[in-house]
Amino acid sequence: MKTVKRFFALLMLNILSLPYILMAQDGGTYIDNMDVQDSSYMEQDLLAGAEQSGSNSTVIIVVVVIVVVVVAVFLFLKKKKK
Amino acid sequence: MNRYIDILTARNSFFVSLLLAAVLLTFLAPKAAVNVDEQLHYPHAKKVVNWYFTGGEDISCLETPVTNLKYYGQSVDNYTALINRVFSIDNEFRARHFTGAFFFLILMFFAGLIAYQLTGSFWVSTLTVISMLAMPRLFGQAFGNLKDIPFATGYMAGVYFIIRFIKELPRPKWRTTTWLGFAIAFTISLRAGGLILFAYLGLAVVAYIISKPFYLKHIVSTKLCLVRLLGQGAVIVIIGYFAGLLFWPFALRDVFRNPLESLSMMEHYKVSIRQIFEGELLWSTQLPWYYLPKWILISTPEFIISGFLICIILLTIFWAKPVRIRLSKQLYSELFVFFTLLFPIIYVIIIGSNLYSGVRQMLFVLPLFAVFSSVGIFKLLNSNYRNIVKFPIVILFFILMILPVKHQAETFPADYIYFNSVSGGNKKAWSNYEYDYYFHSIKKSSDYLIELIGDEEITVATNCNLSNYFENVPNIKYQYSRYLERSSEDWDYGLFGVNYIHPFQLKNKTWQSSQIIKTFYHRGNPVAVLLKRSDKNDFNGISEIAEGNMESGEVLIRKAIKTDPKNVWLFVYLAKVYLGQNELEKFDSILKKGFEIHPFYEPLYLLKAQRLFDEKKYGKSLETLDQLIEINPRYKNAARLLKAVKDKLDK
Repeated sequence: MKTVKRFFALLMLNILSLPYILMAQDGGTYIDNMDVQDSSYMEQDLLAGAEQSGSNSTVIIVVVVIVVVVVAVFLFLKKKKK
Repeated sequence: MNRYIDILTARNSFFVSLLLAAVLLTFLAPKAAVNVDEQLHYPHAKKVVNWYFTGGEDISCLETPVTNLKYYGQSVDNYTALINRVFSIDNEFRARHFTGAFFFLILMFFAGLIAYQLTGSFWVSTLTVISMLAMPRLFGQAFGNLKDIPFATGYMAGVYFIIRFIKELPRPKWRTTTWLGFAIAFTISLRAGGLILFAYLGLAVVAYIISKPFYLKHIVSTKLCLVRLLGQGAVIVIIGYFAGLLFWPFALRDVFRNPLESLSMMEHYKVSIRQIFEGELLWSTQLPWYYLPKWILISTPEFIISGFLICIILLTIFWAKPVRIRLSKQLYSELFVFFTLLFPIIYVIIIGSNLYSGVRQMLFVLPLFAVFSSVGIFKLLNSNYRNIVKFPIVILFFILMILPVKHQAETFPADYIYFNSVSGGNKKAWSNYEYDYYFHSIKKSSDYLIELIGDEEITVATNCNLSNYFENVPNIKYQYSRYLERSSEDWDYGLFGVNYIHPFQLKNKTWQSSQIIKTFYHRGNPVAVLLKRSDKNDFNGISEIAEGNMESGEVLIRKAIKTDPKNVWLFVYLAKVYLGQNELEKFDSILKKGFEIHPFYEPLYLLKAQRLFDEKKYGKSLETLDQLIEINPRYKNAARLLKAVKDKLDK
């Protein structure tokens, strides 16, 4: 009888601790790897859109700069003639 | 006659300064350090050379999904690989360092010629050469940086020949035209950013023609002149564009699309590297817009800043004078060169380019600072100010030059790490700004280690890729390891650069392992440490845990913590064990100790968030993860837990 009682007690203990075991296992799956990178090749941030990207407008900027310089030179010369 | 003799003497002084520079570079090249980029670009260069030798069969140089190296022209790296292969040179890095020295010499030559174009005096050219030798951020990378220094050479050569081309209008010489084409080609062959020289040429020509409309009439009305100019334009475009692609396999595969794709790629470089800036550890993609201007301000030598300011002040005073007086023949050259200095800086700020490693990627504008600084001193000496004003300033300029020169003499081959006294010097910069990002200090420390171990068979771990220092030492095996995670690797000695360590740890000295047997200093700041492992309890403990033997792992790690109490990685593993065993009190205690050592360490936050998740406190778990993401938005290991938490919260 004593053996049966012990057996049932052990069984109950295991059943009661099952949620904790499952939780720990469930948790463990998310922290297999914890290393911290120093550089990131082609990886994006964890939050989508968190990284700001500049505008890809080389030609526009170059053209704008040329126009500005040309206008500046033109105005400068106009002033000179006066 | 006297004037002629004066000019001749000045010209000689310029060439003598270059000759002395050549002697100095030749003497120092064999003693220079190998940098971490060399270990990245040189193996790629060998693959590029093999692409040509195999007639395009070996395409390994085109398969670079992680490093993006196919987007670099890196022609000088490729030349060195070719030379080393053809002549079977044993000491490959030495050959590379002599090549770097050669291009630095050419860089000084063209900077001197630009200075001459601006002032008509070779004395200014001489001063420019001397100034560049005393710029640690330039000179310190002359040997090993075979992409930024040669790019600067090409850029300066391009600017110089554009000035010559414009001055020779309406009938530029064919020799100038051809040289301009090759200068542009060379610059493009290093980086697609060299394409900007075409835009500079176009801008200079248009501005010149608008300023002198009669030249336009002359060109259009004289058929021969027009045809000649059109022909010269075509030569510049053909040589400049196509010759620049000859040693660039990726560009050759699609000569029109791929170089532009490369340019776009370089402008928004996706590779992010953690950098210390203003006392914070940030990803390079997170750095503020003023990163570059601030770096220029804190790392440019004091004498260059003072000379540059003098130049700006005198130019401003000059511009305040009546228009008639202002219109000198130097006007266009000065404005144009000033534009080539400012435009790249403003441009990268506007487009939000991903910059890192201080001013390294923008090294090509630094010679122009030297040019304008020298021009400033020249203009001051030729001004009408009284001698009592002029001479003390000039004397101060040369006294200030002693500061970087002394620094270089004391710290070579890690002399490029220079912070001016305006910023508080190197002492204040350490732990607040990126320090030895090129790992030059590993040279001296590796020499020390090799001498220390003698014939002992060892494995050495380092947190950089500089395995070259141990290649010819058969009893040393190289192993890569990040510094904080060093316990996860099997090694006997650890040689670590003080890099990628959080400023909190640096300032509070919680980064220092008790296993350090020697610290290497640079101007009083630790730059490298040598560790000797007394036992392998840490490594064995982590291995046991990885195999699921938690109890034996815990015992070993507890022992290891006693030996190395500031090893935060061990606290991470111990906390992981307790979380797995559901011993939450012990878990909390260990986590607390871990946070005391490193309050910004990502794995500790991840473990804390995991614990809260296990307790079904999803909101708090998300809060912890948000804290973690704020510290490090690229900590990929948190992604799974973040998703799980969000799923639970239906976000």
